[in-house]
Amino acid sequence: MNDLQKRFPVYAAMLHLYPRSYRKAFGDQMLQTTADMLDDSKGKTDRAKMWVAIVANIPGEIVRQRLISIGESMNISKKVIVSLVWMAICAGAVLLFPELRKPGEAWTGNAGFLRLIYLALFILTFIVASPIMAALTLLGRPRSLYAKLAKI
Amino acid sequence: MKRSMKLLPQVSLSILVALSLKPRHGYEIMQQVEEDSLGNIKLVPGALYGAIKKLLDDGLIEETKQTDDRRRYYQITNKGYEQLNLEMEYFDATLKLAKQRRAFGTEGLA
Repeated sequence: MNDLQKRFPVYAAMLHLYPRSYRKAFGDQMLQTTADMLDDSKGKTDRAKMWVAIVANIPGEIVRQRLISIGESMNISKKVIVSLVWMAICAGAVLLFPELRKPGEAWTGNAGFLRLIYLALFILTFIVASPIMAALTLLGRPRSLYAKLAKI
Repeated sequence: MKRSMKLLPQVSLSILVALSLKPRHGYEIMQQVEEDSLGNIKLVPGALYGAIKKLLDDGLIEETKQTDDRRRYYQITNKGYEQLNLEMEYFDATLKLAKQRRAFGTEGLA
């Protein structure tokens, strides 16, 4: 453990959620830049604001880098595994679907309309999009596909 | 202007502009971007290095040999300058167009 990892143990631990290659390339630089920011800050409030901004950015950035990393390191076995994960998501959604329909409840009025929208989104996202993602992962160009997904 | 050019995201463009004068390390880039944007763009390390990775992968910036014990320095490449020029041409043309249209609009109101 280096000095910066000792200084920011929680942040350093959170960096382990990034892909390994990204962490190796930029992990120490991220810690150093954080140290520079904090050393330059004026007072506790300023430092607290910085930490809030830094921590708030972490989840989105981890997902983004993970998606990019998935696309970058795709060999055929990984393509098959990721496609199977997408198919599993789809299968799970299909199994869950009858539960969501709640056959006993009415489909009229505002509540019914809202439920219809939720169901449509559910179908589009999981039952329609997942098999498409599985097919594109297996047969398309996953690198650009996941890079585009990361931009969202 | 190349019709097929892809405009860079705001953060990446700001980083290129920050590096157009001299090589800088991460925190210097953050400070320069904030100063250039009049405080509108405040980067955090996660967003900064995400954008730096993309710029490195695209060959628009590179690491320099200049380094201190802990910090890595980045500089813009020739390809990066070309991209920056394309972006400037695009923004110049857009600005010119917007000014022209505003002029016509004012005439129409008068």
